[in-house]
Amino acid sequence: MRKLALLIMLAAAPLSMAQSLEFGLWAGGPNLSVGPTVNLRYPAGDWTLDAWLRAYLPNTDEISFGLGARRAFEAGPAGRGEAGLKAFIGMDAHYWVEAYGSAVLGKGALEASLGHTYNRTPSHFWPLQGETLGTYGQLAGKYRLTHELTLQSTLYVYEGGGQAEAALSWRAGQQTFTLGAGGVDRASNAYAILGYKTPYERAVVAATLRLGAFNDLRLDYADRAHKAHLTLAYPARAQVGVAWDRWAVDAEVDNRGYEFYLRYTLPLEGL
Amino acid sequence: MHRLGWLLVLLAGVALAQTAPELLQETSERLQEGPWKAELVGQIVGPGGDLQPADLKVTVVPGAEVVRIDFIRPDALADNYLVITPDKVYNYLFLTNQVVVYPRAKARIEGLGFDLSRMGDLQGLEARRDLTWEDPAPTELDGRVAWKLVGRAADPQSAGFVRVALWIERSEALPLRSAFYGEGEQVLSDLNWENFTFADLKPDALVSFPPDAEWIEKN
Repeated sequence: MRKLALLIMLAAAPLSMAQSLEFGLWAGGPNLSVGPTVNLRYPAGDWTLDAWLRAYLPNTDEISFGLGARRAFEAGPAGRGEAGLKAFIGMDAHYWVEAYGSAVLGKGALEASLGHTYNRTPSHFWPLQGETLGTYGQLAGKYRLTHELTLQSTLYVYEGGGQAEAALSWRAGQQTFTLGAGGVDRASNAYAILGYKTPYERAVVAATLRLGAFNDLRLDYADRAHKAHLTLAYPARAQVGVAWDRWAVDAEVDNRGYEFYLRYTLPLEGL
Repeated sequence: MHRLGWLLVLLAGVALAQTAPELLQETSERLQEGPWKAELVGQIVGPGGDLQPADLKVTVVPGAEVVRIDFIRPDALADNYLVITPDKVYNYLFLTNQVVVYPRAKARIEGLGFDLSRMGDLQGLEARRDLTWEDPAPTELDGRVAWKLVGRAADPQSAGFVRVALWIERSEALPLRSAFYGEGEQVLSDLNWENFTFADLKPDALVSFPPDAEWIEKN
């Protein structure tokens, strides 16, 4: 009995330190697979530690466990930065590691990630990112040319391909217009980027259209209580996400299958 | 009789003369009268120690102890803003559309070579025992009759400055200019208080952020 009590206390120890506990339900297919998930978050000063666990049914090979650590660097109104590392391993010996960093200082912002995935089914929603198989890297930057103009660009490289974008955003009053161009793999696979963002009553709405070799329309809505986005793409793909209060749900469907991810965050601070 | 008259005037002047802490107290009480906003324009020291042009919009609701500082200049900080409440400090970064929230007790309001929490907060200066004030000197600033107050910090290391100079309008008891100096008379900030107005402001109007911003909570 004492041993059991000790075990329970040991198991509960991380919970007592954690600030939040996120419970999720992941589902994906073409066939139905269900994965309950848990994310334990423990912030300690500038450090944040994460632990993830996803069960997976009926194929238990896809059960995976992950750990992450990141450190923030704060510079007040001048900016901030963050650097971190996360790693996941699964029952079928798949693994995924990613190092990432971001910094915003004055007029410039930079975000970079570098990762490697081995023998793992790509997933957009576990844990909420879209990685690919093999080695990949992403670099994104923003620079404010003037109070009205901001230059932004992204570069995404993965085994067997890549994607690059550059766009200029022009702020006119409270509205922002974006115009840019991108390319997939090679220059002939180019596409145009058009964006518009405006406050609407007490909310902010935004639309981004990519047209050409890559086609999608993304709509964003945010008010004080809700954040939502919808992406419609061709070749056929649809993605929707809504977050409200402590809840969030994301879903995606394309011609290869679907993914669904519902989450609830339980704050533990003060319990 | 003529001499006696002058002597009486002089004695009355001495008796009525206010000390620097009294003037600061009066200014502090004026700033506590109700919500106000002002534009602080001048120079402020950057992270590298270089002086940069500064233009800050300061809004204060004294009853609720809420202060908001909107950055117009330096260019690198344009559209960023800081909201200080009794229990939290919110730091909005325009470029990444992020709100970083700190508990007030742990907040580090740095990022420039100068403590921003001092901005717009002249209250409390009169109560600081580590400052030695010279007698107020009558002066004029941009055609307005003012007092110039100079205080020196006993421990510049902990105070964050060596010397502070304040220009206070005599009739309104409102600040016209504030300047903080470091070692070797290096200017830390030198700001003119412009367009000062009392306004009907609610704390909620100050503690507001873009609805689509990403929130980062620090503990």
